[in-house]
Amino acid sequence: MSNLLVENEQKDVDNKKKIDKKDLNKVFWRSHMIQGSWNYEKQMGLGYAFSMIPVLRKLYKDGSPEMAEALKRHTELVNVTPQCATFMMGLSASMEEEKLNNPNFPVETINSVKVSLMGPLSGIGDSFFWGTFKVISTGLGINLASNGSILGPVMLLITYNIPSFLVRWFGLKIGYKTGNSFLEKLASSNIMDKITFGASIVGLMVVGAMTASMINLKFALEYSNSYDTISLQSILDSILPSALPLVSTIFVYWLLRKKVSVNWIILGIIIFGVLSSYIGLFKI
Amino acid sequence: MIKAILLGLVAVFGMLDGRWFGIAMLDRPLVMCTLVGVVMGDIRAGILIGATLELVFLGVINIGAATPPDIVTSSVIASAFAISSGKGTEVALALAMPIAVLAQSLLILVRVGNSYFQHKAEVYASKGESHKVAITHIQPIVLYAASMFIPVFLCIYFGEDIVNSILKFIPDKVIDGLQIAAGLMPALGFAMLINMMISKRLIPYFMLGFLIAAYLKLDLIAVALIAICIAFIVNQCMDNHGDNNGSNINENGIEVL
Repeated sequence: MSNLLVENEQKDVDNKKKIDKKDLNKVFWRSHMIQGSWNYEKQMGLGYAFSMIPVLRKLYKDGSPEMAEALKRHTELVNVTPQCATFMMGLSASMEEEKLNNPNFPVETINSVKVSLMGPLSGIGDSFFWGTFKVISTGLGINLASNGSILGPVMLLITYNIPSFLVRWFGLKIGYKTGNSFLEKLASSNIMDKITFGASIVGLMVVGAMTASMINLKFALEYSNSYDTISLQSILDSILPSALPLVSTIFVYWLLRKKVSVNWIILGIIIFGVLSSYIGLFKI
Repeated sequence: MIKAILLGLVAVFGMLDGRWFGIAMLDRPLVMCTLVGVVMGDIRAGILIGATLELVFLGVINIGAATPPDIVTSSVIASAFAISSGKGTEVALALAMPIAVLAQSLLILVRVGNSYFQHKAEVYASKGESHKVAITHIQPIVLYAASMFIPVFLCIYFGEDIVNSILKFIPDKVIDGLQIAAGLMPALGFAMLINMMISKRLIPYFMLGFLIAAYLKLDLIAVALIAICIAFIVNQCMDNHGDNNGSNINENGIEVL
């Protein structure tokens, strides 16, 4: 037993840590292109292999059966929030390296870890990038752009891409260095749930605020007598400002829940607009 | 002619964002329409149209295996027509959605076609030829580029006069109506986001965000920062709640993981 250990340790000294910073940097840049050949069959599979190739080349010789095995492994189906894919790649890289150093390493785990990660990683990734970062950055961008300012699109790009870059960069490093233990630690301490819940809170509050400030719909009805003009809208505003935007958002949400298709809703909104322009019930 | 080519290239650039640039939001209407504004010589109009379309398409996002409506093609074509006809946002709005849905079918076609490259790559993979695998991953971009460039080029090159002459006959009342629709359209984007994110225990947070903005008139940055604080506070409260049931805090008051 101890002999075996010594032998393994000796091997470790010989060939562990073949992957260096440069290789990981290549993986980082390539990972941006993970969706380049997106197809319904294996989804991001080929893109994943493409991103892993710098690491694989370091470990295996081109044209060797080992390389063939590795390439096959990494062209299997993958689908994950693109920014989070690098974490999986870092993990795969460290496992490929370990496989080389340790002949007893169960090869199947490389892919089974990938498969087991896709769900939870996408869960966090989607709620962060689509539900929170994108909502906030578009909100800020639109705010500035509605005056016609070029800062609008610039703001959108900056605020979205900073977290995007950080997650990609550190995801890869953390995935490679700490491997699976990092995620196990996260899972056992509920931190994942907390983070996702927190992200949803921020996202939804911003959506709520946008509902109040970015939808334009007002009653056009006015009642005038010789003394005064009373508009329905000003009465409504004194009770609950932006009540119409709230009601219309909730109504559209209800339609979505009833599985009414988005295209019908859009058509409905356009017809509603034209009708109310002729009737004069609503204005912007 | 040159304009049509340039706009086609803008669309290709937007497509590259999702394929090669790792989703950097360059393909969003706000950026696309701004670029269209640059090509058409009216940046300000491009930005304004972009802001409106951005709100409409807010809920159109690329999650999982579903192919979303093609917002790039539609942003480019719709805003180009809107600027060249001089009627602005309302026209862009009326055109954008139908175009997005039509162009979506092209994208689906490309993604089905890409299976060919996947199979080719798998053959190379089984021989261990990593260079060829890498090249095979690059090739589909030609299909993607064609699916963006060709429709945009054809629409702009042949469609501009037709669309403009049709637009001349649209009565003002209808244009006003489209404006009302444009004001209301963000409700759809918000509803789609809510639909994606909401659960019963999250409803109060949506309302809280709404009420803060409606009554206090705070802007989005303020609401976002407040929201971050609330998210932390809520998580802390949930931790404390856990302590009452059984202590997982050590003597130093540090939570034991």
